[in-house]
Amino acid sequence: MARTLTSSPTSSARRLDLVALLGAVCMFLSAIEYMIPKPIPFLRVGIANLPILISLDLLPVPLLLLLVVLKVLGQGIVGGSLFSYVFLFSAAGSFSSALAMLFVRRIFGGRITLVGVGVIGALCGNAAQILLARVLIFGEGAWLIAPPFLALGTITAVLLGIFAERFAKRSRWLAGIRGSL
Amino acid sequence: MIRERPLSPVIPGVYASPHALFICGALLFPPFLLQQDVVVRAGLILGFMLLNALSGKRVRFFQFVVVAVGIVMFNLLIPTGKVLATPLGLPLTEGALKSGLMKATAMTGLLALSQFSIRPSLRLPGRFGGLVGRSLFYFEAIMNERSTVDRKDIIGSIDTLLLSVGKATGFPSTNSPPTGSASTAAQGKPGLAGPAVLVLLVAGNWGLFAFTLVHPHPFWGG
Repeated sequence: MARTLTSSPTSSARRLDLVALLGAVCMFLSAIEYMIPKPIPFLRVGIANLPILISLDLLPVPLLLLLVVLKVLGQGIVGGSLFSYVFLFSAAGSFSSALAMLFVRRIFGGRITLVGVGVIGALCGNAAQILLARVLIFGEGAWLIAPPFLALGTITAVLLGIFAERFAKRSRWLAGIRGSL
Repeated sequence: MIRERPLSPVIPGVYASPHALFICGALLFPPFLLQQDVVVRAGLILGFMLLNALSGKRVRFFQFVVVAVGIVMFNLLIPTGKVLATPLGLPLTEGALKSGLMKATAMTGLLALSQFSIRPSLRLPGRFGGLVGRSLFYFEAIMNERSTVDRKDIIGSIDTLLLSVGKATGFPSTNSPPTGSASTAAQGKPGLAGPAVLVLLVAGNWGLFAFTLVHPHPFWGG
């Protein structure tokens, strides 16, 4: 059952602070991801989506979308890619992935695990990036990278989903957040 | 008390505010993207990379080349226009080559420009800018503790890291977020030299763009 936070002036400020902290975790994970060598800058494993996956049951929709904005903008500022296509790819992938994950979580609730949610999010995010790559970079050649890109995205999403499930169960920090807000 | 604004290096010994660099990047963005001459674009990319190196940033030249070659290769897979050659029996067409080069230069050039003009110490204005600032403040706190992440116990160590960052920063806070951070930016000497260099850069790029409009494709492209 999805649990969102109640609203009062103090809890509202606390929720915003939580969004800021989760945005920082996204940036931290994306900095780790930045160190993983890859042939094309926008091809990402997706570990920076972990806070979004965990927040699906923690934040109301507007704050979840605000977290996605913070993630994308923060990555653009920290990585210095704000004026580049990389930023567009990040925005397209993050928003389509978050919206898809939100949709399936709201529809299926606890009947779908974070692994399933993550895989659907990854497929949608990667599909949006491939469409953008077709328009901006690769042309028709983009369809050739689609199968390995989607396969890799699915595998990493499964691993990320397993990680998120375990983190959500074990984390004292997350339990504290749930209890205090 | 007036807080000293953090400055970022533009070239050795010359500093400008992250906001000035941001505006410079926004003004350099259109003439680069609208530039239709591949050779001029390539020259601009080298210029942006040189600026990155002069401002103390690490330039990943080899990575840029690999990305550019990859994009050109993918575009060559769909032949369009005049056949220039047939290496290994595959047609190398002029249209596909030009299209690939334009896309590759756009991708790498904008990335180089962005890396020069966007600094981690950039703070956006307004309430939303304050939230971004708060997030970057937490990011710095996490980065300061990153050495505690243990590969053998990733979940446990990340959890401990988040708890310790929470204690160190007073999370959750209902106070106004900090508006800037000095730790990620150089405390350079303010002056007119930095803005003057940026104005020259913008004027030079727009001038070059105007020249190539009057004399279209002086080298090769489009």
